[in-house]
Amino acid sequence: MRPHYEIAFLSVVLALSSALHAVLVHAQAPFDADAYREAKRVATETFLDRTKPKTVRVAAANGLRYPDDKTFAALLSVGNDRREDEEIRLLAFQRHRYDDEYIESVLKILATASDGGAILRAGLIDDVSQRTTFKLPPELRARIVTAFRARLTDRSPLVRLSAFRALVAAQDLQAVDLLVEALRRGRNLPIPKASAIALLDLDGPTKHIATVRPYLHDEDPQVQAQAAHVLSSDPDSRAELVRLATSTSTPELVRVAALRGLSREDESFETYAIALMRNPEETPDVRHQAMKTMAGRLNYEKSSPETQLRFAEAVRRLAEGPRLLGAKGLDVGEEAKKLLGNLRRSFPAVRKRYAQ
Amino acid sequence: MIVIRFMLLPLVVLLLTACRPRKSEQPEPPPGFSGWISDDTGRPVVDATIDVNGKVARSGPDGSFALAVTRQPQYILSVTHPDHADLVHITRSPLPKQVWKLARAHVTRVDPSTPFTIVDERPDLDRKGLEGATFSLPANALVDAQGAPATGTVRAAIATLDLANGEGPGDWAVRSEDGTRDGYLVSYGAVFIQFSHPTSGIKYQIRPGMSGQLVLPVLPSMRAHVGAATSAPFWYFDVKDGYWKKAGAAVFDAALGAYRGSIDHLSTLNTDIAKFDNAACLAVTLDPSIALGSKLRIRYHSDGTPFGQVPTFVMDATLNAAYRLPALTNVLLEVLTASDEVYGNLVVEDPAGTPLVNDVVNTGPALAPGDSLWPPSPFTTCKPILLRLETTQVELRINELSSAPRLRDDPTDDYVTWAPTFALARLAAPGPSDVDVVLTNDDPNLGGNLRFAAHQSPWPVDTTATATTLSLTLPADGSWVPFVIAGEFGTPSINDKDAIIVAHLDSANGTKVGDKALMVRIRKNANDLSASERDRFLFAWKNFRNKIGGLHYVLVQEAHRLASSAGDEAHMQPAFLSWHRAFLLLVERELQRIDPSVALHYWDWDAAAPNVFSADFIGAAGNNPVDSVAEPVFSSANPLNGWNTDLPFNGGELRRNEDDHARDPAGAMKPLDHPVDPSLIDYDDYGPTSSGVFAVNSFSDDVEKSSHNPAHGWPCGGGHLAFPSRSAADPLFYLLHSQIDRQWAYFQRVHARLGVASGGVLTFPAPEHYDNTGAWNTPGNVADPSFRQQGSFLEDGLWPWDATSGGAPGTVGERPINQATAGGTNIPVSMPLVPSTPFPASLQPNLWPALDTVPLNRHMIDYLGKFNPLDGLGFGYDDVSY
Repeated sequence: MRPHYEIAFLSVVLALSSALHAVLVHAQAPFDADAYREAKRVATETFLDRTKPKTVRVAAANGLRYPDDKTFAALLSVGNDRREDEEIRLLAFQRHRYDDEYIESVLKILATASDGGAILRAGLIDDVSQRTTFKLPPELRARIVTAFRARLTDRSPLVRLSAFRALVAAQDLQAVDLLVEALRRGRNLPIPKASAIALLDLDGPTKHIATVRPYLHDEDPQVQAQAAHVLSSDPDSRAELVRLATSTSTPELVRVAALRGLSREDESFETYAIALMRNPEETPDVRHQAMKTMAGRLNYEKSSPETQLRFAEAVRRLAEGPRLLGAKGLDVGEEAKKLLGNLRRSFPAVRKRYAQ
Repeated sequence: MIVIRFMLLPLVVLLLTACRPRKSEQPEPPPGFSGWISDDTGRPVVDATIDVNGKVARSGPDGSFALAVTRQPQYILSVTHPDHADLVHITRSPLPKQVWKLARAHVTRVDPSTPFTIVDERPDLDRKGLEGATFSLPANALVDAQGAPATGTVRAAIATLDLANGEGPGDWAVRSEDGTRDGYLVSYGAVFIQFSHPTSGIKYQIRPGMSGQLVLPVLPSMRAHVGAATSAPFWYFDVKDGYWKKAGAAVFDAALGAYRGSIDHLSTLNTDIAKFDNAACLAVTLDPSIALGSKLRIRYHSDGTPFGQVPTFVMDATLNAAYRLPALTNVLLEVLTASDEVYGNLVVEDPAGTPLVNDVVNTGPALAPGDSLWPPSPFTTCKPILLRLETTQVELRINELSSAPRLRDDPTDDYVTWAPTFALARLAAPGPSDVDVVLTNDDPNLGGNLRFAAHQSPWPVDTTATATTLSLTLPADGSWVPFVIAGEFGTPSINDKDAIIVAHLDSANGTKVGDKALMVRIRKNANDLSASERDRFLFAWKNFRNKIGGLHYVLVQEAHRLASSAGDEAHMQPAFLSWHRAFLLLVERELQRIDPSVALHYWDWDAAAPNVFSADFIGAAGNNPVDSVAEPVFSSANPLNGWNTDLPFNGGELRRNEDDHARDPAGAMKPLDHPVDPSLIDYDDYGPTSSGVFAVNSFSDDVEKSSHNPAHGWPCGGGHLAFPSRSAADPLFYLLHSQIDRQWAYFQRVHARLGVASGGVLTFPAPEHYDNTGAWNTPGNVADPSFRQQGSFLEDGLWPWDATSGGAPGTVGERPINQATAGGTNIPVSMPLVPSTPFPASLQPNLWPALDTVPLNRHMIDYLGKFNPLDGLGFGYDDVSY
């Protein structure tokens, strides 16, 4: 149980933070610069104060807004301080601007095995990856890649996963090759199988079809779902994917992933997508996914008026049929109503058929 | 009484003609055919072929042409252009100074060695309320005139014709199969189809013995009448003699609302019913208030025999005939100005001296058997009527110069920003005396609002229109009077053409004598758009993504990748802001070709943007339980749903990270302007120095590092937007960069960084702007020709429009390279090659560039045209005033 003073302080910080937000976002009221400064000062002091409980400091980080130079220096100091809690250190770096001091500090930590725990190292990789992918001098990019590659074999699964994610997103061949080899081996994977397949999907599904094929019938639905999406671009897996997508015995997760992939790759997609939409025995989520992916296909692929009309009729039935709620509360019928309106706008044949 | 009326009419006509010698008041038209070829938006069509009875001319850069002809009893004027449907007009006399509008076709490529289908999918069909036709051919069905089969890729053009607006060739003449009787067609729909060699232009026909399948939707105006024609022939137009001839048989398919059938001949094709026994004609006398050469458009009005087409006649004499009309039918008459606008003050007298209460006349009884359907002058077998214009009418034009008014108004250029825009007013028809009018907004509480100013020449520097009304005196002779307008800051338009200028007689409360609808088109905070604005924006993006040919989306995406490759001029260099301003302008103008009411709205990250990062707009954060990036969530109805990047990974899916992008970004990106926190406008220097390097701790340096770079990472660590080589594949890229450009515009406004007028010349002295000299210096200011970094100086060209290349690889002088040598892993699957052609001329004549131009850094700075309105770029931001 948290001490009372901690809860009280947390409340004050949260209140100040939300007041700050309200002042900025809803600018109808005159901006109170003094109140803003005070809230920011309190949040900054709280976050930098080692004597404050961690939860209070974490909450205060939201109130830092855009720091001044003095605060940036203090944040760097906190981030580099090994005595600090690693979540606080990570927050300090995350709130720091991207500059030479930031990147040098982060690279130094990543290169020092004894510095920081998994949360800090993984978080820093994520942070650097998010901030620096856009445009970097080649030398700095090389240093970052080297630092990340060194973490591919980190003892922490969390750090390894972050390193693989950052490098594969940046199309790093060494990281991709390691994943391919590991998936072919089928054991001792550096990261979970499902994540490894998802990353190969990110790298380019057509390059990794042979590697992924064995996982289409993996016992883990997460693995199966990722594999289904990758293999939607594999003509040899097409029939089996269609079977999985249309079978009620397939885990829903896999069906949804397969439909997503097939909608982009399978020219006969409409034949079973529309049938799934119209089947009252199907779950609302499968019917919704069939509708959504088919709509996406019609947005960017050529289609005949006949197809447009068949789809529109299936959408109309969903719009006017019994209320269907997806697992996350999505109202399928409401979405179908909006979609029918846009189909009218996009396709003359639909506009004429459903003019009223 | 009827007898007396008919006896008196020729006399009245004769008197009118004799008493008002029209021709002596008008300049004598040049002999032959002349005029201008334009598309249906009024833009000139260059290099069109004009053929009159075998004599040929081509249209020039402004669409103009002239063709001398010898005297002949009938002329068949045909106008052809590869991107448009053929136009054919039949006349008995030469027609000078006419504007001929071509309907743009949907153009694609097909492989004739396999069966194929082409569908007319032009976005403007929606605007016209038409459905596109579909045509299918079996394999190897195309041959040239010698019977040789078409090989390789063939160019296919298809255009469903908007008959209700005058499209369609000829005068709907048809001859009975026994050749003894002339008649006319009543059209249910028409389409132009043509196949040609992509380079030689050789045209192909259907191989004898084979046929194609045509699905031709019924015209909206004819849907109620299909019951009378559940089967009907297909006809093709024969330009050789101006008659329609049978090309196949069609039946009405109720499910499709279209005629479906086989055809064995390609040209303009029609589903029609032929009429041989109830044709009528009108003998139309013009009052002097109507200029010779005006067009008469005839629309079916109510009851009687319906027809889908809208015949248009050029009235080139005081007495004219409108022929092949259905007898005893009420028709609406419209007289068009030379620029194809409808006069709103037409009076129809039926008979002469008896004004009708509206512009609807009955065509009268059918011609007697044996009478010509197109009788010779003076058209004694036709029903006589007289046309004249009544009272004062004011014509208003936007974005035009008095020195060179366009022949016809272009509704696609009626868009303004906060910057001053030149406009024109005149009396629609000459009158006896000058007329005083006052211009106002129609209702200041509705839609966008405008401000007015009297014209000055030269227009003073740094001045825009500020008055709420404007008094003008319009000369009696109908000459143009220039004035100036600007959008009223704070009241931009929400919908297309919702800002309306009203012309009143004598005072602001006087009789309304004219109006003009336009749009105060402004880039807005995307989080604050109305649902209508958002949807127009998204549909424009969808159509841009689906565009084939010309400047299409993947080409734009690829241009950014290459610009970001070796010799990157676009990032971490002085040209960062100017290069992206040009890039955005290019994209925005392409979107506006699709929907002129769209602007490139911005994502303002100084506050949370939940409406932007939603499933109904740019996408909500996705969720992949095993990875940190996922496809953003789009609602089923979102036009971006299914977006395909054309990149060879993710199956073409968009990817962004899974953070809550709609959260408050405070602290992640440096604020633009803040009363307490450090902000981007705290800098005074723009950035580029006199030695052409990027000054650290300058606005342009910081906006790139502290605003732009983290913004790319904010929603997209690991996704497309995070990498310059693929970021432009995500539509969010353009909202992000619009924000960057807005930040620059705001900085320019606050620090007066739009240039300095000195001795009548616009200059940009460093360090506030660029250096003017462009010296080839190193950062240490030591002369070194090997150093020059393109884009660092005011007069430097921007790639790819400057067509430069070269420089030693890896050196600072290196230029971006083309795809052929760029390589990389982010090449689009369709592999479009970025052309090194100049930046295209603005569609609006009052904006930069007037002609295709190599953009320089200097062109991008004064985006409002403060020093010369004609150099303005045609955009503005909702919170950055003039």
